[in-house]
Amino acid sequence: MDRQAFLNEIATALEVDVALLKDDFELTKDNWDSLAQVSVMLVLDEYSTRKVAVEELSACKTVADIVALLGPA
Amino acid sequence: MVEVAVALTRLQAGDIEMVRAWRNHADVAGQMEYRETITAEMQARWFGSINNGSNYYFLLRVDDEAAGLLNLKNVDVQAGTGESGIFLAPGRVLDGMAVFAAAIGLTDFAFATLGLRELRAHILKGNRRAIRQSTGIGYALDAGQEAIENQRYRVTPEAYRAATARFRSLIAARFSVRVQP
Repeated sequence: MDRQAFLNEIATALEVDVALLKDDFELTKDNWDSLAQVSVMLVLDEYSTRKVAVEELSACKTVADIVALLGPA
Repeated sequence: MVEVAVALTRLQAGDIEMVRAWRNHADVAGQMEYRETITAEMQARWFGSINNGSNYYFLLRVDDEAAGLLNLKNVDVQAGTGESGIFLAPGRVLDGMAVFAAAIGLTDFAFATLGLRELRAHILKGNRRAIRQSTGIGYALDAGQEAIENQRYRVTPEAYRAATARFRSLIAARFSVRVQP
């Protein structure tokens, strides 16, 4: 899996500069809105080998939590 | 197998005090043009004015929990127009994907069931979440609205279908969306 390509797509989904997208980047009520969540889920559907559950995504607090949903590298 | 049940059921008289409490909450009122406290009497009068065939107000339930209010108001089937609106119950901000699914359910109902040809929405200029949600399903800011505080957006069935095409299978795989007018 191309981690950088994945992060680029997550940055696009969150509408943030990819340079700001460190593991501890926090998902807040200002950036973790409905469009961001469905857009990130689309990216996960593309990159993950499993179907990520809505509940798992909703529980994410940081970018590291999103990356963890990809499973083992 | 779908994971989350999203239901839009017509607002009933027994729901309106719960909705009034949400609507008066600072998190909700702060995103509205009208921000004064709404009394029980005002709410009852309002319900009397919208509980008819020109207005569809739906209680949003996510896995059977009341989570917000969606509406199509001032529906004119002859003209093919209506105005949409949505607000979430305070504290339901993490239901983002379910809200997106609900917005798709509402818009499908407007275009496919009622046969409307255009929906409008008014959104406060600073309400970034609502603007992103709306533009994400195809709404566009009307010309000449840039300097206005409560801005008007519009969407046609064509723009809606184009904007939501990439989300359809994702939503269908994870949500069951039921609209009960």
